[in-house]
Amino acid sequence: MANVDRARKLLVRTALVTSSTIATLIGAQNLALQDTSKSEPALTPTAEPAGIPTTAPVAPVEPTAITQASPTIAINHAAPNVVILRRAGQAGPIQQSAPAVQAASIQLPVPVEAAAPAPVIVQGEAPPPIIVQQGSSSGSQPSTTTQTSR
Amino acid sequence: MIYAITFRAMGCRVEIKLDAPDGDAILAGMPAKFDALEDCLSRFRPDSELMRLNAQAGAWVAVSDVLFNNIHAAKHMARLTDGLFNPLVLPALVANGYDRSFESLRPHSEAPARPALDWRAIELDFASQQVRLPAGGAIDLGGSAKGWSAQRIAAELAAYGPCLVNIGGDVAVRGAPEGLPGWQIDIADPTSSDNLGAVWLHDAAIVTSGVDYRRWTGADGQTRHHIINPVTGMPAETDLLTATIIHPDAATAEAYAKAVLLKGSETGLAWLDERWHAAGLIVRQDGAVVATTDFVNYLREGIPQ
Repeated sequence: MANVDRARKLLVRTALVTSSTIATLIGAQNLALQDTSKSEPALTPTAEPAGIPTTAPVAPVEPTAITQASPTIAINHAAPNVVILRRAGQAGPIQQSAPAVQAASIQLPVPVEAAAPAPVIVQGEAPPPIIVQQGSSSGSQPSTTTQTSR
Repeated sequence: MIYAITFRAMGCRVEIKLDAPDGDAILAGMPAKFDALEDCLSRFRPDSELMRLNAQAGAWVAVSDVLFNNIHAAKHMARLTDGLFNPLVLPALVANGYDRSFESLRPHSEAPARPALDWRAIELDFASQQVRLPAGGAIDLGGSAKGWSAQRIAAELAAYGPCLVNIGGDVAVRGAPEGLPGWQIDIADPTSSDNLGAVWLHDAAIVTSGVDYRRWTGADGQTRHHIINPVTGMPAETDLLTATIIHPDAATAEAYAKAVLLKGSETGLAWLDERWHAAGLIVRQDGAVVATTDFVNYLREGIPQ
């Protein structure tokens, strides 16, 4: 008999825990639904007598005219990790101390006629190889230049 | 002790520096080494191994290590650049009038433009070290051989000490002179006699390619240059004067420089920035200079990597 009582009590307790858990879950879901509907207007009771609701006729909406963008707007093609070091028309060495920015715009260049240099024609035999001693490693030495083949 | 040698080879000025006790004796052998390379790779020597291969297009031909490795590297460069670099541009170069060394160019009639054949048609047999070119095709290695040679010679000289190999502006360096962060390399400004700036490099390469120098006037009065668009077979129409690329490998840097020139300023650097270990600087024909942030870091910090 005692065992039956213990079993009955266990069953009741289990049912209580389960039902409260389910209630908690349902409550949480309701709260979530309420959060999503915050933007919706709240329905509030009015003092007007209940009747058949009527609405005024709505004027037809004219479609918004599509206008073209101003032709003076410049379209900048932004490329990541690219920096403008010298702008068109400027001269001299580039600004090496300029901070590297993550984004820059590259404007399409105005066509400019580049004067083609006259081809260089080497006359006669090539000069013989020259070996020079440029001093100790830690001393100053002439630098090498990278440029198009010539 | 740093020794330096200068001479002309491969149609350009060659400068080699070596920081080693017996550097002068080692460098004395460089002109002969370059002569041997040209016997193999030059299209301006009728009896070169390359020209003998070109004469047998369509057939399997056994070739030397140097030529096989060069052609293999050229195919790899074509793959990396989606065909913008294409070693099969020799017929297009000749059609545009560049049929002899630049120093010997004279105006003469050009043939109609010939788009390059598909580079994937070059076949390599690694087991027998043979090459088969597509019928009607011919290879020019002018767009990759200088970088490949600079990289290879620098690797050989590195056994003796830090070195720098500059072949017409294609520079490969190994190590750094004692007490210095690297080898100082100036970047020429194609719009003036000044330099744009300088970088310090070790165990890397820097290559400049451009349309500013090797230009000539055809018999039709049109100005042409040697950067051929493989799709059209004509000199590339680009808004760039030069492209300078830093990369661990000189041959790759050379191919990337060509690709950036062909792509132009609008997309060239953005394309390059997606490539591993590549940094680039371009000079536009209007004088503007644009660079990737990685390249700017080389200029700002003065030390590499």
